[in-house]
Amino acid sequence: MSSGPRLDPSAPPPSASGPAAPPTEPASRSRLSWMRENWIFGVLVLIVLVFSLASGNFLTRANWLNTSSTATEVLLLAVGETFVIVSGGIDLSVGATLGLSGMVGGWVMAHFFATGGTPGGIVATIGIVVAIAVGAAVGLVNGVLISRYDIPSFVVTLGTLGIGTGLADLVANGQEISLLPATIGNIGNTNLGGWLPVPVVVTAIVTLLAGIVLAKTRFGIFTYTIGDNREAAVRAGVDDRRHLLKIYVLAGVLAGVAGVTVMTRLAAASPTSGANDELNAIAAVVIGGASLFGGRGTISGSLIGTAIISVLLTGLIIVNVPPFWQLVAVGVVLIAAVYIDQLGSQLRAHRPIKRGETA
Amino acid sequence: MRKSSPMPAVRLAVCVGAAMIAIAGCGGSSSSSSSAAAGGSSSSSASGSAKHYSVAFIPGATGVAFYDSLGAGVQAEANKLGMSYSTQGAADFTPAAQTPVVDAVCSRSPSLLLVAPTDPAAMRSAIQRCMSEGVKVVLVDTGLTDASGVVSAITSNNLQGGEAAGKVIGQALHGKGEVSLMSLSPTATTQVLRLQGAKQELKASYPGISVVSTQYTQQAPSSSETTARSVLSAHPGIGAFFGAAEPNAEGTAQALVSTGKKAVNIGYDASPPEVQLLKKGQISALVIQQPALEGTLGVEYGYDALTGKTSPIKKTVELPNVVVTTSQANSPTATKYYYTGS
Repeated sequence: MSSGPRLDPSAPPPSASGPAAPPTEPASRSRLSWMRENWIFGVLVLIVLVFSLASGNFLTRANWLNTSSTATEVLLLAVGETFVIVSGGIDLSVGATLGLSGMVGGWVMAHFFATGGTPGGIVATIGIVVAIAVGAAVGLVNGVLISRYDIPSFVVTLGTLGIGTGLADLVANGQEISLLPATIGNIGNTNLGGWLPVPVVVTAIVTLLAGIVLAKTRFGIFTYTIGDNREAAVRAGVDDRRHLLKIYVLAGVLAGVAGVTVMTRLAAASPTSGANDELNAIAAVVIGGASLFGGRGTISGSLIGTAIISVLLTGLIIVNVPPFWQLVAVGVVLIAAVYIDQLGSQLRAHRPIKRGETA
Repeated sequence: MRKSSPMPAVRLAVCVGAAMIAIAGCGGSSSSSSSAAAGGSSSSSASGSAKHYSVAFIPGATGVAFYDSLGAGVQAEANKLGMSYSTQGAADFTPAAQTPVVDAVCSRSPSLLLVAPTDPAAMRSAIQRCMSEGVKVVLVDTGLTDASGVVSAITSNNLQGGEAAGKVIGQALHGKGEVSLMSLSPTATTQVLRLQGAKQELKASYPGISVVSTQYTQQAPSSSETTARSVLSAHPGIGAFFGAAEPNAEGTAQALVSTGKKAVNIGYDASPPEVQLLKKGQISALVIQQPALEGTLGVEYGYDALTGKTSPIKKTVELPNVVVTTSQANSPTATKYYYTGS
């Protein structure tokens, strides 16, 4: 089922026909991924059902607010990671980038704030822009090294993971920055209509846009094509280096946005924020049906993957699972989720499929 | 590590990543400075002793306000005694990260090493190697199961600190209600003892109070926030939180703000962000250690051992913790205990 390099030249890569309107292939792809997601979505529903039956405190407004704002951190990273993984790469640096961008944004704000006089809203805006710019800068470094110098993404982003973590500690000698304008904390703790925290709304918009871009635009088609078969993409006239550069910048920008949302949630910037988050993001993308070999994956899948991880995180505490068993339970559910997903694929395999569909 | 590890490849990446960070930590934060502080004293041989002594400090992890304060105490006392000072540390609180740091520091043969071992058994061999090179060693903060050969082992009384937290909770809740405990690690002796102390005190003196939840969080404060909010969902009537590590009380404070709930929030240590929350009343009380004093005493004893004045040295010291509540937060008797910032 996996999409290794195509051996049969008679099967053209999807959208090799170029940037023009995608013909039949992407359509069948989206139908297939929708079926995949039905299965994994079923797993999510099952988990929610079990938690709801186990505790009356699970399906509550308080838990929705907690789970959804917690999920923003991983989801923003997972959205960027989806593009990277679909293009056949991996980005291990996003968690560290989250921490670094928050720290630099926080440092700038604490700096402005200390001198006083500037209205909090302006200071906050500057801090947010700086944080996202730092994310973009890390993404640019990753992208340039990967696309221009052909260093494997695994190695480059492993390097920037270490660099980002170290730099985040250097900003304030490993300490947190908590002297931020009140606006920052207010943003993170405002619930629109009582149910929608601002970071959740921002993340939802970003996710929706990213979903459209990956599924419906030329940018998305190029991403799949490069991940599927880079050579074919080049032959079809795709500027692969330029495209990969953009993808890593996008992942960096989203890590910067995630750095901002975490900062607004805590009203403080911490250099430890985002530590190991890249693992959760990659897990969410893979649970969502993406292939680590590239060419396959969807934003909606990654959304469901993130939801499963976040619901487990809060739900296991709410139903009073002892702490050590929480780790065991998360591990079991993650493996089971992907297994059930594969089972679904096998069931489908019993009906005849056209060859292009396996992508 | 985090809960989920999707692939062996990714797991490998993290291990390698951790190693890289550790190396970065090893090389990174060197700050040998005999020029700082102590204005007039010309750095070397100011004390008039014939031999020039040097002291090295290795914290359990870098970027922790507690260890920064301890280091400041070491440095101040070293300057007073005319010893040169240097510090090195790893970013991760693990013996795997700390061992190469200890080896590297000892290869430079300082006269005295102050170290906070990250594991009571696993750090013994590296510290033993150091002592066999003739370096005098003082243990600070955390200890070793086998502490033979060290000049002194100085620590805070973590059990007493936990009991103090239990007492504050018991009084604040008037002996009735539900309590949640939080820490970073189920194994680190300091945190285990703090929770144990709190549980003992509550059980013994406040039987009407029950501990309904014990959770272990990641280092990032956002992890504590999510956990505290989940605990609040699970136990809506919860009356108090006790966090054994810095990020626990910070995350809990934010969780109480974002949910609009009221609960007693007791934290440990006095990092600048914690102190700020204490003053705002978002943390109700802090149990504070005396890291600077640990550093001062450690250098004093080490200097005595180097100069052959062994009589004043105490082999083991357990310093008491102090409790500061919001209402006392600005009084000078309290502020002197706050840890140094960055």
